[in-house]
Amino acid sequence: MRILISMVLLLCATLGAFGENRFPKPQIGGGYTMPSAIDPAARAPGLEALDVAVLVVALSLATWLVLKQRSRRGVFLLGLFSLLYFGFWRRGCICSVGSIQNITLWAFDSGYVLPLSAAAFFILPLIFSLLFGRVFCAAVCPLGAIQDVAVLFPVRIPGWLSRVLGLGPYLYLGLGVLLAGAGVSYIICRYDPFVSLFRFGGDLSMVMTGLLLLLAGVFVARPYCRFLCPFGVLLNWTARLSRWPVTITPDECVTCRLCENACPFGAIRPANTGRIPEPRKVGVRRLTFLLWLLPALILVGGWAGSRVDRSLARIHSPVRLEEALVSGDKEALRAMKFEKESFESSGTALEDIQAQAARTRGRLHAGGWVFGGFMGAVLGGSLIAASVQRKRRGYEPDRGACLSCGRCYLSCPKEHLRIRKRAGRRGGGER
Amino acid sequence: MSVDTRMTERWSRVALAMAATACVFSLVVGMLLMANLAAMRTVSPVNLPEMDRLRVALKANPGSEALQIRIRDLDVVSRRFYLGGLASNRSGGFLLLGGLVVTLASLHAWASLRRRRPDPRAYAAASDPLRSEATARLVVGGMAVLLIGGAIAVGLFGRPVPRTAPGTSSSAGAKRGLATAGPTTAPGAEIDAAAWARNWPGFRGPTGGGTSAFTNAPLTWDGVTGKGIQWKVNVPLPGMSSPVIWSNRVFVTGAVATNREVYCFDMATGTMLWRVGVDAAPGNTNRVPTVYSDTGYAASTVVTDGRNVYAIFANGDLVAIDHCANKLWEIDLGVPENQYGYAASLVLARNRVIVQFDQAGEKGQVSELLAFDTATGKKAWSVRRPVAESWPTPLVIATRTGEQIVTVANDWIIGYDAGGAELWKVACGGSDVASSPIFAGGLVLAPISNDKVYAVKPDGRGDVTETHLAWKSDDGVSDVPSPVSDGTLVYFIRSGGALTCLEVATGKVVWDKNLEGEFYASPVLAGEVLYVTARNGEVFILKAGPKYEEVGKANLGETSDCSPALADGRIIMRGARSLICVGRTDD
Repeated sequence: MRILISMVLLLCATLGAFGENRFPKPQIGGGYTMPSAIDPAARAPGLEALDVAVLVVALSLATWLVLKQRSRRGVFLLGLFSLLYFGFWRRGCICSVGSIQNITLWAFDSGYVLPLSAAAFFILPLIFSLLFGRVFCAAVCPLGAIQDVAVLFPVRIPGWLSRVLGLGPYLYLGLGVLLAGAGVSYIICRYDPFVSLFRFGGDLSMVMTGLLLLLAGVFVARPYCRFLCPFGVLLNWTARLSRWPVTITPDECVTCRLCENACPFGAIRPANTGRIPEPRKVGVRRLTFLLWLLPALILVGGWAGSRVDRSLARIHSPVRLEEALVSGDKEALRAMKFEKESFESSGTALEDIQAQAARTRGRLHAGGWVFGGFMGAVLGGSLIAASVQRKRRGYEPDRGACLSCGRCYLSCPKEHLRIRKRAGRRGGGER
Repeated sequence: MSVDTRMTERWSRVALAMAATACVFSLVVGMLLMANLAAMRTVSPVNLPEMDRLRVALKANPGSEALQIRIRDLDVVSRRFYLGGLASNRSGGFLLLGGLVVTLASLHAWASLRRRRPDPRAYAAASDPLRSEATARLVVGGMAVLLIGGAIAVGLFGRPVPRTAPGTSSSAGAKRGLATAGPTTAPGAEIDAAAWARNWPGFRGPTGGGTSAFTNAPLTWDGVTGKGIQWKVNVPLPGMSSPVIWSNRVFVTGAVATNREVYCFDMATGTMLWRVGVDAAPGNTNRVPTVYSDTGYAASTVVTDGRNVYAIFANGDLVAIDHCANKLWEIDLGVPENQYGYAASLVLARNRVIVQFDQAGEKGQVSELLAFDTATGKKAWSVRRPVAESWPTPLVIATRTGEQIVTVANDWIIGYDAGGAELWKVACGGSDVASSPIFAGGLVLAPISNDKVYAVKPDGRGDVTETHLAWKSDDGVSDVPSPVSDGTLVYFIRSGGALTCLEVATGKVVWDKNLEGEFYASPVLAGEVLYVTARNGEVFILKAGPKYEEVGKANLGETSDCSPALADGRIIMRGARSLICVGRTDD
């Protein structure tokens, strides 16, 4: 059944993948009215409220299924619903991952009015994560759900590689906020690999990226969630503080090791009591060094971040056009012929576009300090995290990394015992 | 081996074989799709070198029907090929999809059949966490060095931001010929004041006083031989309205009794970029106004804020068109009662289009000053004016106490604030007032035809006739052309050719001179060079100063009653039939 559903969803996802090529806007005069370029079309306020209501219900249901019912099947089915509703029906918009940019824009642009739905999609998953862990990732996020159905032969990634690839979301988050705050680009939505599948069309390269990620997800479970998702960073932080997080066992861990390989995301931390750690003196010396290194990394990172302002500004097409116009770069102008024509027909003066480009560079220079400092802190924090050993008496999920999918439940003999007891109380029946 | 195990093994092999077959099939289809995509890119409708070449040729020769047909044919062929490619992609996509589904389904089945219970003994060789963390530190540290080093390298050795503008861009022009010109204000917070000053956005330029920010206007040309003429194009309909410049666009209007149009020309080549008819205002009766032949149906000059251009015609049609020829709004103000024909030009103040709609005879009390929202065309405010019909253009000035709109007409010179409230007024006489006021040396200088020149200090309130007149003069009272000033001296030219220079501060006559010819166009000033255009097309080029000094004479090659527009190293002039771009020949 699950295989069949997975295949049907993959079929739906890929159907539109090859109708993505669109003609550029035709140059039609004579009063021709261009159709709306907004896809999907703007949502009526009432329906926006419906989306928020569905989100609240889905998050509550996910919490109940993960923590009370401990039902992997229930989580999987709710994930399918979320994939259909938030993914295919709502065509990937609005989504919590992209709402980061709405919040950023709202913070930096006084003229931007933050939609209620964007605020809700940003804050509600974080609140639930703060209370119950990443239940949003488990069954509510359509990006997670579409990857979840493709997990077939998950392989275990070495710990060091997982830690290195885990820096990706921080980089993506930092860049996304920097570029959105500077009004340069909204890369989180623009490079959403699955939205083109949800919308049955889009840029070919993004369709291919989405398909490749799904194929990679056959072996490396949920690669986007683990190594790219910027919203995952925020969920990771809040889930670390969660009050009632998911547990592998419903009872006390007997360290049977049966669950050790059950998590395709490598989020299970093994018991480590009784193992011989390295000499305490060595660990303390290294940690002291890294703590001293942290502010240096932040400062150097900030300075380095401020140096890439010009390069990042070139993402913005008006800046590229301005540079091409000012330098007289014929090759660049030829490549931007439509932008050039649009600029010329608008009657805008070169000085105006130069002033606009200078403002963009200025914003990126200032923001680059914050972005670089943030990345320095992330690198320093990662080095420190790789140097701190915590004692664990039993097997437990990494609160930050655990996606609350429930795959580990049935690996625990105590869980089987619990199910049997409950079935006995209810007079039989299998979940 | 049990029967169950054997069955499982068998099905497992079947699933694997199916997966392999489907995978190979998918790969083949995928490669064919890629090949098709590559072929499509070579004939993409947006990237055809031949199309680019034809478009360039069409720009140079916009009337060529043969070129237009070739472009259409090529466009159809390329689009047909492209669409065919898309259709093939779609079919191939379904095949690929089918292959992938079978592959994944088979692999899913194979994985399920081979799934084993977890065996902790298999994890015995799991990596040492301490060692793994040590490797992580090493790699993360290496990444930190790489990321920071990379950022520094990009910052230090990346492509620098180009600083100078080559060629004849306005930046280059600004460097070469931009004066530290007099104060100008942009009529709205969204309009860059520097851009406003660099352009010639309305009648008599950015100051409304005929002065330019550029000092490098051409000094010699001959419209008969073509010397110094960069381009000359025909304007389809006649009009007395003067040209207006914004960036690389020139705007003028033209009209006959039943037809009104706004034109946009390319500043570089003179190519007409668009023409938009003005005939669809709601409630428009298309009543033909009575006009004098020297006024015509399109005497009012347009005004632009850099995004839209606003125009008014003798029949009271007011229109806003963006720079891409989209009509934004259109209003019929009704045909004004005006014996010679409506001629006041539009001005902008705080994102409002200001219309001095003076009409009817003495004490008619139907004259109004109107303000319309530039974005929507909705009337923002209007105020009744106690004056008869007039022809001057209002003047927007920045004073220490705020922005003012100054109007002149028979009987009254009136200053309003930007919201239409009357601030001050000066009683005057006169009749058939046509010259527009200017602002120089802190004074409003208003020549009132058949009366005097009034110099008003615009900081009073109420009737300031007795209190805020700096001086009055019987000399230099121009009748049709408006004056021009460098802040120290002010120059008036009468239609009969009497050129008078007065001191701005005192009104004393500095010199006067009779020029040969008739003059309707207003003089303009570029730095120290004064351009006075006669109706026969002859242009007197004078050095502004305390002595009459002739720099030279030029000829437009056709008659002209329109005021010139000054740009960076160029002058745009309108003759009876043509729009003419005069350029410097010493560059």
